[in-house]
Amino acid sequence: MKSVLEKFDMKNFIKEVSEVSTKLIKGTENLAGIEEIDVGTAPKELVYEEDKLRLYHYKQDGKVTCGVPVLIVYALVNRQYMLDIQPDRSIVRNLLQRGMDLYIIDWGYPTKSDMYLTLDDYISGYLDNCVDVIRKRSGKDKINLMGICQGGTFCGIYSALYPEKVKNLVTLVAPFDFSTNDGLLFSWAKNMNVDALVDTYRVIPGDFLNSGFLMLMPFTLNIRKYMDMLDVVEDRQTLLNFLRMEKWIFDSPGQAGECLRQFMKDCYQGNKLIKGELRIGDRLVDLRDITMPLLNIYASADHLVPPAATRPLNDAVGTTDKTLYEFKGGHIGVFVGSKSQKELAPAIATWLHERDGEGHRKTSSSPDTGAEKTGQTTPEKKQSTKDKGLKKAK
Amino acid sequence: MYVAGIRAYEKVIATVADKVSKGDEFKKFDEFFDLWLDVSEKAYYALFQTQDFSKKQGELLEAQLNVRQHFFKFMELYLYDFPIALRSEMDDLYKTVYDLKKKVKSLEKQIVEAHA
Repeated sequence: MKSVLEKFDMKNFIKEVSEVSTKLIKGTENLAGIEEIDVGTAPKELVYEEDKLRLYHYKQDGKVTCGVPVLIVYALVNRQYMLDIQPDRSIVRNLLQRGMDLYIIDWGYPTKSDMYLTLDDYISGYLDNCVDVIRKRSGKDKINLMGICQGGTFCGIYSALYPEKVKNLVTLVAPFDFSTNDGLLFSWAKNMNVDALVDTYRVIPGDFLNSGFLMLMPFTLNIRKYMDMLDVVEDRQTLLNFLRMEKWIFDSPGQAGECLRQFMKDCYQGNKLIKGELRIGDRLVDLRDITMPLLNIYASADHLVPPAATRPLNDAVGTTDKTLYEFKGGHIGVFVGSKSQKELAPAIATWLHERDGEGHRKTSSSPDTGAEKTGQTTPEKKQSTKDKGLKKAK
Repeated sequence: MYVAGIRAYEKVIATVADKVSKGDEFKKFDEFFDLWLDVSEKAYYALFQTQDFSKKQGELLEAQLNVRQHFFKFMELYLYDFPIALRSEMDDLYKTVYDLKKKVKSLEKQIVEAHA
């Protein structure tokens, strides 16, 4: 009887080792030839700055067909250029091509001097100031907000506090109901001594948070990914795309301590936002005050912000014009996946165009991708969804 | 985590043995590698999902932070007589700057509103 080792095709193994060596040599050459990993290359101009925050306005080469500007608000964790990670995988460029007038916030990299910044400073301070700048520049009383991940939560809170300044609200993979334990982050956060964390670090290092993200799928994110890289290392363009993503993953700003303290304790641990108990400054946040149209996008296979955390927003808001859009994919796929470029960006543009006018068309038509397929709530379905409660996330 | 690793390792060995006993063979290294990764990932994910792990992880983090805090306190005591700004002094300074900035921003807003 043959030994276990003999059951491995050793000849082929040696051939594979030889192939890998060749790939490594070619890959090393490619790596040496890459001088810059360019990201966020869509042309834009700086229109406002405050402390470490920068507000940019994207240059529109074509015609603006959606009159109300859109402010993109990304999370404090990681960087906003994910939305324009590479020219052919860019939600920003996609939306620009569809006639949107886009602004984006760059929160910057907090240092120790920012340790006392609170949620109130970010939302009623920085975000509100950016909204005012855009309102002034555009001459519009209200603008569109498009918030991503934690930025979506911020936009939700902002829209509840300042509904008079928000025309339409779009949230992408943004958590609102933190009671779930579906995602590991939600489970882990509940047992974390946040006070000790903030009191020790003041500004929580980005690397600390990143190590937590990498632990969500330790073998895939720390081993498989780099083994898979060997398959693309010979192709310079694909390698460059891989490096762009790596750059984004490890480009993690620190987190202002007081802001993180409240976000973790009140949201992740206390779930106060959805319960209507969250205070921003001296104001209570009531999600029922979100009275403008809402497009809430969640990813069915999101391991960072599970659908159970995003979907409940539609039952908590006061507006009757609300759309729940299911993106079939994961958290990151929402920004860079090919489906995102083909389906999601056009769907957002269509939804916003339909609600662009003074008394916008309350049309039952859904974004291009088809409501039935995506499981989104069309206006006809709204009442029934509200009554019956939302379907359980898959 | 050690136990989860051992269990994953045992499962990989059992799966390989099962495959071999059926007369199959690993044509490519990737087949074995994928098997090892998938089994290990699942084993650790199952562990990470438990409340026990979450609690222990929280306790471990707290202990690490505790050590770090005590180290910082020790450094403050040690460096007190040196001509350098200490962490606690910088914290005070940051707070003062933060409060002043906030006040200035608020006053600037009031001026703009008054002129509007």
